[in-house]
Amino acid sequence: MRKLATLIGVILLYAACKSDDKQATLPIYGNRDTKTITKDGKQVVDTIYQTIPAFKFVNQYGDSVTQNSLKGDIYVADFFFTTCPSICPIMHRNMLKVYNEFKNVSDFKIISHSIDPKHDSVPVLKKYADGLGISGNSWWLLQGKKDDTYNLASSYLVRRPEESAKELFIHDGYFVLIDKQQHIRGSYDGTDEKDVARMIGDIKILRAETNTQIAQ
Amino acid sequence: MKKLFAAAILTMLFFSCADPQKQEKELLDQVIAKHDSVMAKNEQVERAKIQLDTLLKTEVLANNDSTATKLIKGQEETMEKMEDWMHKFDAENKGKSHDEIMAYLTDQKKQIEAIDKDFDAVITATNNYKKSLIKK
Repeated sequence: MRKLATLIGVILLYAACKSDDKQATLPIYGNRDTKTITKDGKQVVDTIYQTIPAFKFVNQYGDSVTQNSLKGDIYVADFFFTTCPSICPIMHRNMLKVYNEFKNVSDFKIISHSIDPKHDSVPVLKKYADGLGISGNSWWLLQGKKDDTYNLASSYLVRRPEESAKELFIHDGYFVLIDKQQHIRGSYDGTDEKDVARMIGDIKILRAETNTQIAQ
Repeated sequence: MKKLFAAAILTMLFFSCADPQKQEKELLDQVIAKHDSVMAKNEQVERAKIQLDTLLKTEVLANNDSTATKLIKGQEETMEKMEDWMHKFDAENKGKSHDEIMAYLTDQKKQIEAIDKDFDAVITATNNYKKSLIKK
């Protein structure tokens, strides 16, 4: 009887550990494709996940920012404009919590794309950054050609499987979590404190996941 | 006479108790809600403009570019109107009296509603043009 109880205990412990392992990985969102590759002399089918395409914008310091500027970083992207009277102030109040949590983490960044580059010049973005109380290079406010920003947004706006088939808009207030391979790993309502808290948890999971992969 | 007097007092009490800040917030919320719905239309038009810009660079619209160019101009003008409105709109209204705030927000509501109608018109024109392209 004791042996049976011990065996059940061991199985339960194993199941609990397996369950934790599952929780410790975030899904990969977006379109996916497959291609056949040769691995160890065998032909295997590999999944190709959607990645964020190349871009070039300017940050609040007037520095050029490209996809290479984020190489080796996990990052959160969002879209806003400085004169936005509705959701953007709420989004960035919530984003400040993310900034404060990770501002000293070297492999994490936040990029906020302005959708109103005509007004949101570099000095305007700098003033906005100062107003938020952000400094350094953990949170970049970016501006560039409006068409380029909208085209890039199409790559970020992915519907989660559990979401209904609604149309997604740039002004919906999404925060999008991107991993070091430029894959989309999470999409959150930036106006919802609870969803942003969930994102903070997911960033930690993603960092742990990445660090485990590096260790392996 | 007594009843009339009581009714007058009650009416006066009702109006004096109406919360001016609540009135201002309700009107501001209406303006902002309209702004958010127009923003979705703005995005729709921006994406349509990008599509047309791209098509103009291809052979698809080589013989028909004047209509597309005119349409793009209309799209840009409408989006500029929206941008101008956004840049000027003051949601804080600091230092203004209640009456001034209500008058300002009422005017802003009218302006954003007019821009909304402009977007509807340009979206209809864009959709009609797209349909005409499919027929060809």
